[in-house]
Amino acid sequence: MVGPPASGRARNGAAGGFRDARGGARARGAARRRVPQQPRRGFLRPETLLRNKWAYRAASAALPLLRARGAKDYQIAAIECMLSDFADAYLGRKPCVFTSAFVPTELVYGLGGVPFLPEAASGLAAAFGLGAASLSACEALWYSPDLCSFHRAGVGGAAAGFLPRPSAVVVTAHLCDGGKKSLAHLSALAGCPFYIIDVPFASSDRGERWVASQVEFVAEDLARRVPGLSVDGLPRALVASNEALTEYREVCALRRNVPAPWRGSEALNYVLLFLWSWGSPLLAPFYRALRTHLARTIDTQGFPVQSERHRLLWLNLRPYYRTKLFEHLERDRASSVAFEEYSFAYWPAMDPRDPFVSLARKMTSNFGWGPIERRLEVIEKLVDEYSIDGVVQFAQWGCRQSNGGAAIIGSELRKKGVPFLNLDGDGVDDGSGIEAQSITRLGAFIELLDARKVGER
Amino acid sequence: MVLVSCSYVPFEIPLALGMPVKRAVFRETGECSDAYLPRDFCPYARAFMRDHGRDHVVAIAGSCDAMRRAYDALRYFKLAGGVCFVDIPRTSTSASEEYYASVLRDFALDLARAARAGVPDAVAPAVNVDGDSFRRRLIHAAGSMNLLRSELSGLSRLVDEGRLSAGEAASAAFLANDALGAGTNQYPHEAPGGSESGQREAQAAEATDLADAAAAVARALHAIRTAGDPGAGRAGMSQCESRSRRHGRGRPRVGITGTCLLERALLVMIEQSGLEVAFVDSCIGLRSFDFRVEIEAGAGDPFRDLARAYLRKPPCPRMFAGDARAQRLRALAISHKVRGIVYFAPKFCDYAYYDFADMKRRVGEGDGVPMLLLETEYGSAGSGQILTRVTAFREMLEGRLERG
Amino acid sequence: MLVAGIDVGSTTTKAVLLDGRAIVGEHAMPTGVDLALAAEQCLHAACSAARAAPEELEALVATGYGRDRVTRATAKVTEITCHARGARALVPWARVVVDVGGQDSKVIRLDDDGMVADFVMNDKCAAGTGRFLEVMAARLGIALDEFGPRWRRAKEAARISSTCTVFAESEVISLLSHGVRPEPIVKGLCDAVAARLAGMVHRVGLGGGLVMTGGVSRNEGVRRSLEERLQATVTVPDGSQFAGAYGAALIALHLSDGRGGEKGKPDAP
Repeated sequence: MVGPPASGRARNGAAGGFRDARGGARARGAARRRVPQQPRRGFLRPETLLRNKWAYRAASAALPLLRARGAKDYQIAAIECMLSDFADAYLGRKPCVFTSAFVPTELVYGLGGVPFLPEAASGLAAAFGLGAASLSACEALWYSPDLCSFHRAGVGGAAAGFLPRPSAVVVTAHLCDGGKKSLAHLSALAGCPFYIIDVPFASSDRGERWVASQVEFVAEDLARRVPGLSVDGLPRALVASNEALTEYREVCALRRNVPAPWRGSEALNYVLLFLWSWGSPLLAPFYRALRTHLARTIDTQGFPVQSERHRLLWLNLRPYYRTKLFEHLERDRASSVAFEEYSFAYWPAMDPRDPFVSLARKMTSNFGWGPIERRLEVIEKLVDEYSIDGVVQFAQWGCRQSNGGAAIIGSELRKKGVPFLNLDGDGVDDGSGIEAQSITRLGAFIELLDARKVGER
Repeated sequence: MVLVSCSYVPFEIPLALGMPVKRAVFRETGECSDAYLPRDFCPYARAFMRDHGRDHVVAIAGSCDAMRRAYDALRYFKLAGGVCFVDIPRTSTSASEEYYASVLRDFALDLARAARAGVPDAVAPAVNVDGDSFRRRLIHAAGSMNLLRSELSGLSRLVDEGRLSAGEAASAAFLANDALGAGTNQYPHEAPGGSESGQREAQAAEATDLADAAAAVARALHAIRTAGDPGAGRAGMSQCESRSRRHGRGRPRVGITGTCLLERALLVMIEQSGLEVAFVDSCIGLRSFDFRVEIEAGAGDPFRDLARAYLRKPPCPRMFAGDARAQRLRALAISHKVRGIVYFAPKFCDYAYYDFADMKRRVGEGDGVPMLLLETEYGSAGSGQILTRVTAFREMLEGRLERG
Repeated sequence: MLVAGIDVGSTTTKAVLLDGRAIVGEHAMPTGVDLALAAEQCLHAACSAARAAPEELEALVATGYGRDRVTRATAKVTEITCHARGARALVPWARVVVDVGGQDSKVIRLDDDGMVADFVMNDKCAAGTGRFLEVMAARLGIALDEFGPRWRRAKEAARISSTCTVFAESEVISLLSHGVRPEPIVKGLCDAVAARLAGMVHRVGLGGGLVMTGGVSRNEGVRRSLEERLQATVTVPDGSQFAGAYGAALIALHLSDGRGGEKGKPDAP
């Protein structure tokens, strides 16, 4: 459970650029090998901008402007949530703890730190046009392009200086081998403590106790080794998480409405926040604002896809760079992504009096972990609850944990009369050049759903 | 027969249950691989996608995401008589050892159930995996396996000394593996090991297709399995040593590492292209030979002893053992005086890709040992592109040798 | 003393004949399906340019993917070593050699002495190779040597996949069907190849003189895209497509009299 303490600080010229909050000095073992850099200059370089406190002030000040230009309250709330975390992380206001996607972030908020998820940040990087630069920086370090781009862009993003400097790294041995190995690399690069929490494949009380003891160790060791962290705030973070969960369940209930009250393409963007922000006091206000927005949409019948023909369940993530895929789906094909696999809150409410067991339970209850039947059960439940006509799995290149289930999921869904599409793609690498083909395949899938509807009549 | 996917799964357990066991080795991906697993999955995981037959139990370890999905597909598409999952922790702390001990106990129960299917109680009462009798069987199996491991480790020393080729040593290891998997179930009263028919098969194999060294090991193995006579094993070794010869003087010496070495042919290809292989750090190589299992005879949990020994064996890239892997590779490179390291990565093996970048940085660039990455599939040994890479690597090392 | 190097590539076979250190004959021709025949014919042609016969050669080094089919060869050496040797001889300050041939691309880092220090080759996929450009040129209906002028005329580049030839081809078809002019497509294709090559260059480390060899080095578009991407000057020496054969000939010279290589010192062309 304990990682190698301060494992192998970047020996002999590991490439990379963790910079401190002032943006100047490089980490120990700074780059010998040159990594490809963005051609931008000066303060507009993303790595500089991210570390500039005035940039955050300007961004905060611009929020009313955004609102005036039509941004919704929940969108503003989400930006506030992310801005707060980014400022904490990049300006060094709180100890920054890198975590892999399925570490309960309540742990980090509760310790008084700020979580940073390089995998989720890769999605943001792609959205802001930094995907290619990150991936190319990663390739220079001999990481194979056949690895998942969410992990590669994390490694490359650090090398290119886009990521903050971590005080510690915590991963789980859950799904996503690339997540834990890429973060082990980042920990070595930064020369900071690394922790891995082993999670048993099968659920059992004994396994849960083991995980809880590991979480407890990690929390206490972090509090001991990283100045500024303490276990005292854990119950508070769990309360915040529960409060957000309550709001979120309302959001999910509203999303069952036919037609869908929220654009699925947008919901897929917020999956990144969903992975990142549990335990943040700013998450509940976001979901509250979203709930209000969805309720109003239903009241006013202002649905994003007005004459909704088909409702899809979306598995795995989406392409985060600019793509015409969803425009095609929503506008040309009048179909919605009604819900997403990764938006499913699978864990029970937490007990603030028993934080370690609660956090352990959150990890062990992850439906993507364990035998495939567990994931199937959730998919089938979501198909029923959200009145789903067809299921699309976005087959992220290099994602073994999710894609490996496609044959079985497809087979089981077809048995139940639910069509399934395995859609190859890449969420970060916009050079994968698959968009035209993806649009054709998605279009053909919708036509198949059309034909079924006609048949039903 | 129990077919095992990973070197962290103790052979001692099936052997103690009288079940033939072998590490799954394939020549090609399975006939159902395209239907059941995506194309961007490693060839080894895809190779499991075949009909293994009702008599076989496949034990899949939680090595990686791909193998976990292979486990699902094997069960769902009913590709074997039984499919077990062995959940291996990523670390070797005392808590993870304790957890792994419980996993191994469950594994023993699963196998015992599978082995006993259809056997009436009157003929063979159920094995109590917590009883003294089973402990004794485990101790006996561990002794045999320790001997086998040390024999194979001894062959590795001959490879290092240039008295045996890595290809021949690998033949011995593969043959030993085959011999362990030969025979029929001997549940529950037979001493661990193979039946007469198993012996006959092993002897037939020896007679037909034996490289000199491999024959000795197979005989040693045979002796271990049937008589438990360590002396016979040693005799086999010395016979092997006497027949060995010096290989490849003056050729650049390289070490081999990686995750799972798909085929012996890859080693042969390396040697035929003019490199001298000094060590093979793979899961059908030193990582499986360089450790011993000691099970306490008295009290204590024998599964705990097994768990401890296996989790502390030389780490594979899937483990999170801090610097241990880099340190070991560095130590191997120094002690075997190699000029370069060839890294075999099955195509699409995430752990190999991450490990290569890590080792390249720490050992390759850090210690100045050139490293060559070879992404392989079944049949890669015959690929012109792979051969060009290996030959160019040899030329590069020769250039360095010439300049001293 | 006559020696020769022959580079039997997937698309083109090249031969270079040296008398001492002077190039006295060279020839290039399509490889076709019979590699042994192509090698023999190419060697004859290079020899006849020097009024010599292959039998007079004191040493012949074969390289390229068809090197094993050259029965006459005294030694066979990989194209990686040969291109490194040839490129260094052609450009004494070369430190990184980008060799793009018909089916393979390689990036080679040289050490101070001009020896191979590290190298990387493309994977099986043809993206980033001469074959990729050939397929695309055929699809666009323009000749490969038109790529340079079209690249220069292009005001922008179309986005084209750098991952896969098949995807890239479907993208080109899609772009053409949307009425996109060939110029931005050409530039997009060159950028796609350059992206692959740049990734490989970064692996071995960018630094020092960057030299391009192999058949694709004659493609001005790819060279300029690579320069843009790496923000570095790419030197393409005269006879860059012969660099492999030339390197092979220099190794032959070294083998025949033990001095041709003079390891550590770049050879003068």
